[in-house]
Amino acid sequence: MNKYLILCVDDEREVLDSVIQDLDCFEEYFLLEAAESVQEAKQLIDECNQQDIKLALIVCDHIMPDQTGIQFLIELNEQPDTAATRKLLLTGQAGLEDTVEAVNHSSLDFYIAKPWRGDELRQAVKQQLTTYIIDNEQDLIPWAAALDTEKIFEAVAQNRINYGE
Amino acid sequence: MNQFSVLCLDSNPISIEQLRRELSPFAAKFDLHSAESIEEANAALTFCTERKQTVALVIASHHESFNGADFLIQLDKNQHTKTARKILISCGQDIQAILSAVNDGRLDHCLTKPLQDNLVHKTAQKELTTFIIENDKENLLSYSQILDQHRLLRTHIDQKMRHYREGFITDHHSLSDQQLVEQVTTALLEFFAKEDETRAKRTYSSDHLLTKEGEENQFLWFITKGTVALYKKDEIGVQREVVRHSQGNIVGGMSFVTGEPSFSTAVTLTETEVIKLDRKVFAKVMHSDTSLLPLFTNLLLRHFNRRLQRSINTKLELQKTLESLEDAHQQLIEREKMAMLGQLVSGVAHELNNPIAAILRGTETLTNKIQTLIDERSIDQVGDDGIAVLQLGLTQRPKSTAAERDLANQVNQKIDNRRVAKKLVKLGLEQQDRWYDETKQSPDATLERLERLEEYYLAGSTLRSIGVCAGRIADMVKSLKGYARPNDERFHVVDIHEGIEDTLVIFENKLKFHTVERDYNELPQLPCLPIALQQVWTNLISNAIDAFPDKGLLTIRTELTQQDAQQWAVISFTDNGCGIPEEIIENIFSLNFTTKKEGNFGLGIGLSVCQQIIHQHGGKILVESCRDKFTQMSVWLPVSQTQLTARSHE
Repeated sequence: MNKYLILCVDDEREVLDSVIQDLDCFEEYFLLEAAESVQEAKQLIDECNQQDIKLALIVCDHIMPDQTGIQFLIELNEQPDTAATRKLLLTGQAGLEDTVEAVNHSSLDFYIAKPWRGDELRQAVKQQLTTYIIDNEQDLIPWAAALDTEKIFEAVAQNRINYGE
Repeated sequence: MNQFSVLCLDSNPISIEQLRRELSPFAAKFDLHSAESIEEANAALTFCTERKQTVALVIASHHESFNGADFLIQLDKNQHTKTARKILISCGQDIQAILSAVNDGRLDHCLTKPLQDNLVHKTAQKELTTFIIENDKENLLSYSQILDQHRLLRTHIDQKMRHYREGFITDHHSLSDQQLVEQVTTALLEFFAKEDETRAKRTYSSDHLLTKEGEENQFLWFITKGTVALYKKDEIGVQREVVRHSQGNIVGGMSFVTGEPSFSTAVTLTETEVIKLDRKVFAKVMHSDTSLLPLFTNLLLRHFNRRLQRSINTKLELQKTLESLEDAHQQLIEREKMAMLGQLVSGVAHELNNPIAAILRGTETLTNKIQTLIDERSIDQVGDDGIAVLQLGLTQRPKSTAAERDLANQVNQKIDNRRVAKKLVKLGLEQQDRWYDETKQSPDATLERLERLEEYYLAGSTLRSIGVCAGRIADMVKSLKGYARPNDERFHVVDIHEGIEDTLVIFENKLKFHTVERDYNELPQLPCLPIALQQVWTNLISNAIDAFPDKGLLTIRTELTQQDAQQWAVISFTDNGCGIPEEIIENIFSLNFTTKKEGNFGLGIGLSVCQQIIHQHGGKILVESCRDKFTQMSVWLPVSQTQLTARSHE
């Protein structure tokens, strides 16, 4: 079973910790990492890439020093290694203009407003991860327990039909 | 019949005859009545009354057997004969009768017999003259043949002069402006119809220049037809129309009267007919007809007074306008404050979401874990370690994620178990070797123990995080509260830095992309309107943010400076932004100046409001800027000696 990375980026430590806490349940199957800045996040993605760990999903704040979350997501979308990464924006204050730009660059898969609810965040992350895994993983069965079981099985069935098993 | 009559009363027919002879020269203007008895005299009076003839003079003789004095006294009681002059002819013995005639009958003259020739005539002439001067003022000259010509003439002249002087202004009260103008026009035109050497009567085409502001003027133009506009230059040199003159108005009047240069420029707007007078012609016209001078003087006075009235009315209206402008200005400032507040609130509301989210998440985490945490079995399981990590979570600020990751990587190299390594680092247990041994022996059991411990750690760190976040919310609310300024804010003695720091909290999310450098020096506490000043800091910081390039740098510097024998607290805000173009730098404090577009901060009158607030503090605000390099706004607040000493005593 391949290793995938879930990365959370927020410059406010308290917020970052509570996101990590909320996503704690995914740690068994995924590598769950936190970064306090875009810079740190980039470095971490590079390091993981070298170990052949792909970034499956990123949860990113919008207003951060150096670079806004949306700029960062657009940048990730333009790089081959992270193009497929599911991208979530977790913010209280992305303007309409920024958000539209991100959507138009197909850099935004999901938007969660602060303050968020834990189960809502977990549900969104689970759905996005399911989509990512179905799109990128050959062997889906091991993931059924961790992710949206029904969808995984559907996909497995679909694959069999497609491959004419 | 004459208007007036003279009555002679004497019991002696010879005397009567003499009186009649002497009085005969007056017969041309006075009917002469004579009576030989009191009864006859009364009958004559009745006769006069019936004919509505006023008795001008009564000459009565008095002696023992004839009481003429009484007759004179009763004349004075009678309305009809009251004004008559009274002459008593006495035989010179009855002094008592004369005195009572004087006292009770206002006797005018007393003659004593024997009468010299012509004495009666002379006395009567004197008395009649007096009577006429009092009772027939209008026709004095018609009596000059028979009465005292000299006196009549002098009285006539006095009267005329007095009348002329008295009537100079008031005689024309009954005239409307229009009538007055017509009279003057007619008189002037009549005068120039006879001879017009100077071509006083002339017609100008439109656009003809009559007077030019600031230049000498020798003429007076009396407009008889058409329109003339007067212009005056304002302080920036723009010609402003002051007034339009038409028929009956006077142009050049002020400079003509005072000899000063023209006050305004006068230009004909239409074809205009005028009478143009220089001083010589003017004098000539006035000499030609004495009634014209008061008329013309009246016209001039009215002309100037109407202008004065107009300008007073204008001034009143201006005052009203000024007051309503003042109100509007106040409202504008209020609206600016509200607009600013609105934008700040929405920014801060967003910013509040972060700590609130963390608090809500933390509360949920705690709620979920609390049951397990207080379970005795769990407490038994974690033992003292549980208490220790709980304490750690409560008190210690977590390491940076990068540092945690580094440590976790190091630990992972020793035990080759990433999840355990991460948790050891997180719980601060990576120094304790026993955990390494345990992990090697039974990794799954260790991970489970660490997970238990982590719950205690989380309880602590979550509480700590809730505290930190609540503190941040409190800070933001405090900064925002500062903007809810009552209009009658009072001066307080405060530390300027606090207000600046509060303002920076408000802008935290905008400043995230940029750098703020603080170069604070010691300042004494200053008496100021703290909330008004916060509005100033807000504007200056917001302007700096708007001007920022990608990587903005805002330097806030405070210091004490000496200038003009005065200590100043100087607070400067320097940004590395686009700068202010030289051609507009003069205007940035004007009320109606803004380079901002809708949706920018406030209403765009921020700097003008800032300047007002700083002036309220007796300070000044200076700007220095270089295109594409920087803009520096410096606020200078005066520091009094007492504040300095107060500081040193602290």
